[in-house]
Amino acid sequence: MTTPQDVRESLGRTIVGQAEVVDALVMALLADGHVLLEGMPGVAKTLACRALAAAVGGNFKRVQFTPDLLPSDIVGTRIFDQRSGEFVTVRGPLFANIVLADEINRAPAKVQSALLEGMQERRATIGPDTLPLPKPFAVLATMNPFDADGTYALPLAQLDRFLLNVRVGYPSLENERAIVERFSAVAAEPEVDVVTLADIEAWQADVREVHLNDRVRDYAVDLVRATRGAKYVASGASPRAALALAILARARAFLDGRSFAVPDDVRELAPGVLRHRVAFDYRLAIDGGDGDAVLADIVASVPAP
Amino acid sequence: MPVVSSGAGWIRCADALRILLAYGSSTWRAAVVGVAVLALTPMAASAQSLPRLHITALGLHADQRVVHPGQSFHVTVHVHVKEKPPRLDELVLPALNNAVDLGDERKRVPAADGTDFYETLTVAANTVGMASFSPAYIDAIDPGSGRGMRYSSQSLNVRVTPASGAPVPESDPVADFFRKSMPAMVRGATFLAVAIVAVIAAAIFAVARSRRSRVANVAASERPKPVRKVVPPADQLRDASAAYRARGDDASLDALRNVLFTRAGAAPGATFSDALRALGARDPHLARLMAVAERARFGPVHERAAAARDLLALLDTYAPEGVPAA
Repeated sequence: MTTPQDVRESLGRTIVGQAEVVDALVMALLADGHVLLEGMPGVAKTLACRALAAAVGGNFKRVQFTPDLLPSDIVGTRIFDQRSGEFVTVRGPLFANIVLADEINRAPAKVQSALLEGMQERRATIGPDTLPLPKPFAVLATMNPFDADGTYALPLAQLDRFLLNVRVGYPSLENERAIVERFSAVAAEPEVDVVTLADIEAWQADVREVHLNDRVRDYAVDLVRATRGAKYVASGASPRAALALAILARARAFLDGRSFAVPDDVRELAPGVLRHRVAFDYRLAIDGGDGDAVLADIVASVPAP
Repeated sequence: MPVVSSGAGWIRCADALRILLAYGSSTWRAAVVGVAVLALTPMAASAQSLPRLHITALGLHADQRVVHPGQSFHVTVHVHVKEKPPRLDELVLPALNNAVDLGDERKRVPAADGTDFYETLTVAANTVGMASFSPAYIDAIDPGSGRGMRYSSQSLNVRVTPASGAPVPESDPVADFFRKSMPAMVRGATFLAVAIVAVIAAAIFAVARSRRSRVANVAASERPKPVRKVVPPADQLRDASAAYRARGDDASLDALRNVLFTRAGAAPGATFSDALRALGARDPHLARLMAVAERARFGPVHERAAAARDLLALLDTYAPEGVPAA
């Protein structure tokens, strides 16, 4: 019988180091959410998404976001079929189980909106037809936050659709040596069909059964509320962040083989859940501060139950 | 509560001085007079320049209760007076211990019933431990009584904890010694001076009393002093275990978890993983206890009864005497 740990181990064999990224991807899959991966080029963001898609049997589509991309390139369109003499709907790459939106901030807002609407509503409208997206459905988006030329920043309201925002950092010295040793001659080939779609849907149902104690729930709410009015914070996280923390805490517990979530689950996940949902004010830039450090202070200021 | 410390107040204590001088040798009297002159001269001088103010509030507040080393935070002194003075130069700001002053900002806010003054210090904590602030105070003449008064705020402590994941910064032992010793030396000197005055006063009082009544109360001197009970960590665990065994509710389990986490070396508000990190490989039995307590506290209802039984069984076999006190 396949377990979520099998998926984690499969990804770990393809992606050297980056255990946090692997865990985040698996947890988001278990929590039925979408992930935004941020990091410099070449740190295995896209490979991590491809590895997850390969491990999950099902339909996988990759879209390279560019400034000239149109919404119909994502969602699909209607074309006139001369043989039948009727308009037929052609579904776009959004109709897949795993959609990799590579460099999501390189497409204009209209395209981003089309994608993000699908992420939220789990359905897409093409002409007169509104079609449901397949289950399970997950968007894994990548973004390079440092190379801002020719990009379109995602507004907070759209970022909020992502369950998790994962910072993909550089690997350690040992891991970098291992990467060069393993993949300098042979390209990284992800393991395929480690788990079925039915397994994933069953796990997603199991995650919702994981017990969330009242005090752990309150801790998640307290953490989210602590972002509002905190120093350097222009606007705090919304209740959707508390919901995300709660479901992800359950997913983390499930991944660790527990039937209940603990305060550690909430605290460990808080940076990834809050990072893209909190807007920092100008004073942070003036003081040369780092948003993650501010979030760490906020998290540390809330005592765990 | 205001404390009388101005020269005007002391001068009214001349009767007490006369009583002090009425007893003892000539050397004794000279010493008392010398101490009194030294103590009263600057106070009497400063009393001439004290402002006349109705001070109705003097508080000291921090915007953070827990900070990390290097993290800046604000400490605000608030004074409310019934008058409308343009400035409040006489306000003495708190002395900082284990914190560095990065700047301050003064604000005068006119109010319907007087004036509010806010002195906001921006400070940063130095090292892990406690950043403390002595009381802020102001000397003024109370217009109601005409007496010089010292109005003082409460002292303030802010806990300084290591940043999560950050190593505890190394400190300079010499600087630490002087930083830690200076307040103690000042307190010691103050205590010594107060003790000398108290001994003098007690001696005079005893002589005067013995003249009125020669009956000595021997029984009172032989009465045993009350011993303050110090609860060792093992007792705390025993008490918390007993309370949980007796009540079995969430509150007693929370208290037990806190005792276990403290024994592991974790600070209040820590999580299970913090406690495990602090414990290391020192005590695997305690680690198991904490894990089972976690299940008993946060587990689903149908698992909690079994976890509670496991917890009590583990507590029965736990030997805290072999564990270093947290």
